[in-house]
Amino acid sequence: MHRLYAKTFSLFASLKLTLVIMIGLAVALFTGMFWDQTQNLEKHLEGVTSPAARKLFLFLELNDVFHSWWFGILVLLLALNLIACSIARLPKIWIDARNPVKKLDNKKLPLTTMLQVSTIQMPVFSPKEETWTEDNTRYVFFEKQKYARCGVYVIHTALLFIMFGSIIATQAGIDGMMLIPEGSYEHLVNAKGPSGKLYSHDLGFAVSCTDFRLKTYTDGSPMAYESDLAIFDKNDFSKPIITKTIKVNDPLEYQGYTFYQASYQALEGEKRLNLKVGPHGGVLKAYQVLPGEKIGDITPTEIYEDYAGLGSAVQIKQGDTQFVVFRKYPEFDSQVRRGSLDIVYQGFDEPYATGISVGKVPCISFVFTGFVIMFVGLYMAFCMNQRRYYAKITKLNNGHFELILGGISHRYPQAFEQEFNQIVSQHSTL
Amino acid sequence: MLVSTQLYNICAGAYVVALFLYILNLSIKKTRLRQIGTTLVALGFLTQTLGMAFRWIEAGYVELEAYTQSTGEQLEGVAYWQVLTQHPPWSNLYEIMVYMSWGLVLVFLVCEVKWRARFIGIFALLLALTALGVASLTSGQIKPLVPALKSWWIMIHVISASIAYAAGTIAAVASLLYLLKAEDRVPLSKVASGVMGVSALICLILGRGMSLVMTQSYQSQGTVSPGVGWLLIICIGLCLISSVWLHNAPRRGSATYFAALLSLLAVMGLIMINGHVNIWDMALFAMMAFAQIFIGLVILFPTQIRALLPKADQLDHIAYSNILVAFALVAVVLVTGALWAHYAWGRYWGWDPKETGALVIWITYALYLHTRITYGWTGPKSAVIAVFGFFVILAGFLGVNLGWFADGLHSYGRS
Repeated sequence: MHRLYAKTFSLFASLKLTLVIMIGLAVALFTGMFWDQTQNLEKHLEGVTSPAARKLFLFLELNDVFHSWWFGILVLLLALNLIACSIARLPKIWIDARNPVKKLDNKKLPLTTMLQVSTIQMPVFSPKEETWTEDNTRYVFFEKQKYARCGVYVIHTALLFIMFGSIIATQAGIDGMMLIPEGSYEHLVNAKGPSGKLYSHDLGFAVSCTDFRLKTYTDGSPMAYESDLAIFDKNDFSKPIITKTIKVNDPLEYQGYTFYQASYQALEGEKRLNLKVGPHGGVLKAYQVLPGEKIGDITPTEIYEDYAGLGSAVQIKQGDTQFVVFRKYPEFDSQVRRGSLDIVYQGFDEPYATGISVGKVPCISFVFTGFVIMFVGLYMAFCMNQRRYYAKITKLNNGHFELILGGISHRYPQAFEQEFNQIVSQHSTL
Repeated sequence: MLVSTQLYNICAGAYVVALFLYILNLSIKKTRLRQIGTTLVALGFLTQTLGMAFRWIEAGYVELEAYTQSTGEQLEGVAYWQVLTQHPPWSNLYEIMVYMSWGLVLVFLVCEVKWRARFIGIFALLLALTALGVASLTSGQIKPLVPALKSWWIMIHVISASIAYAAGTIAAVASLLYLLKAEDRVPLSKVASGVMGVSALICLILGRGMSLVMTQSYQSQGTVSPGVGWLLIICIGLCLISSVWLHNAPRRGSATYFAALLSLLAVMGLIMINGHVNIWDMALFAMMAFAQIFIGLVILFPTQIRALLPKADQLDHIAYSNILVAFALVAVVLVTGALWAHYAWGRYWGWDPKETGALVIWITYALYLHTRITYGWTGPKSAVIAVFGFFVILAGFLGVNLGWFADGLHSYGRS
């Protein structure tokens, strides 16, 4: 039994397993990139005709690779691998960092130099060095960045934080949409569960949209949109608990939920035209009217989504004449038609429902902490280097000293050699 | 023509001259040539950076214009400056390709100052010019931004990606040079065999796989060219044959190698004559042609070219250092992307093709580092992984933008 345990542990602590898992993950990720993971199952199966291929597709859950059983196994194996590797390797590194060999040993150090000098400049390496005498020989020991070797394990810990946080977020998180018509409120969220199941989630409070504002470019595509949201207690609509105007990239947070301005939808209703009217060549005044409402002696009659390929337009009736004003060409009316009035058409407002994306990610702090730890680990692993300097000083018969210098670094041998040679030249000039 | 476009043209010109000087420097061994070349690259780089600054403002004016046209108001004060600066020049495919060439040149200049390794400059400039060339043939029209891209996260996210993928590319170049230099560990025939094998695979993908074989037609932007299809099938066949022969019987392989190379050039020529050119396909064909021509030269003049190549150890070190940088920066890309997505859309990771693509690139470099550090796989094996990494970048970054994979929230680059 003990042998089985030992064998299993060494399997999980092996780098071979890491490589296999990494290759497996890469293949999984590519697979997930090929099939659109947001499409529903029926659409996917339309493209897969043979029954054998269908069975394989469903068995491997290729429509939802990243929540499939085999992907979960890969991630679990990676987590176990990371933990086992750390248990197997980290103690030795930690003990070595806490209890370094402090005596110079010619045979074990890659860089050593022997010098004969008349005086020794103390400190040899740094004021923080350790020095002691033993059998008429003075030893010096100095270490830089002694925990640098742990950097890799910090990165691995970060990965574990991120994986753990993600699993909780997927299982226990809420991810859904709410469509709230202007002037109305909602308390239910259309949420999607971990396996793609749709369900309805009750927030326990009401979210209302008092106003939605949309600004579009002249071709109709959205420029910016925002909603005025107010949160009410379900039983008390007299006073809002909190209000905020949310825009894209600027959400509202309440009770662990975050409400994002995601989209919008036009509702059936009256279109209110935005027109600017004024005397020809004079100052224009802004109006918002329904079709058929008069402004002075003109009446907008019809709205065109695309008039003769020139884009959105509105038809205006003035007395017995009719003409068209284009949204894309605001100067056309004043400079070409040259009527008694100048008219600029700026699109229409219609009732909208605001599309709010709702998210609750418990333990998102786990994931973000993981990010921070990752950067600390990257810095430790790539920018830091554990270096040890040794010196052995013996007094010679002629009054001079024999100074032996030695050094060892964990990585970047060329840079360390330069550093070491600098120290050697510092001492050899004395 | 926009000022920024003019500046980009000037910088491309500087790169072309510098490239010529670097190539000249291979036979005329005067250090002066090389120094002038590098100075030109540096000046071109500054011009390109200036061009990007100009484009930022030009895009800002487009935003202001669009705002005024749609609302009839003129912006003033703080709001004016806000809108003017809210559109950095990296939101469509044209701008991304310009950005990639910028990153490549930046990483090359750092490598040049640190190591001064010959040939890296030549490849870096060829690739940067390819990127600029593709950009110039893509629509560079500045369109107003969709609301989700109006955020400051885009800065560090895109800069990191540009430098990360550039470093990965330089590492792949250094690794290819390593494989050619380290003749005691890697026979040239095996390298040539590998390049031909990869070329065959890429040509098959460009011909859209089985449809090429079934219909013998090459498809580009919806139009079909039957003649090119036949030539492409011949090219693939020659690549495969030469790959196998080079691996097993080097002497026979060399002759077919050049036949395959000529057929590839013929395919490119025929596509251009036919007129239905897809610039992305041509860019891939061009990169294959560069690699094949270079290796062809090494086959013909092995001792001369190897003498010019930097030391194998140094090339190995250059590749390793660049991958370290790439690995760290791709981590930054992933994290900033996740944070941005969290604040904009409420989900920090959606398994979007682009997000997944960046993760695949990261895992590939993790694989490189793990095999190197713990298995001790420095040298040829490491170099192969680094070269493979370049194709992972192509697929995971460009491929995702071009729609090779499923669409996602991220397909902004397509406009």
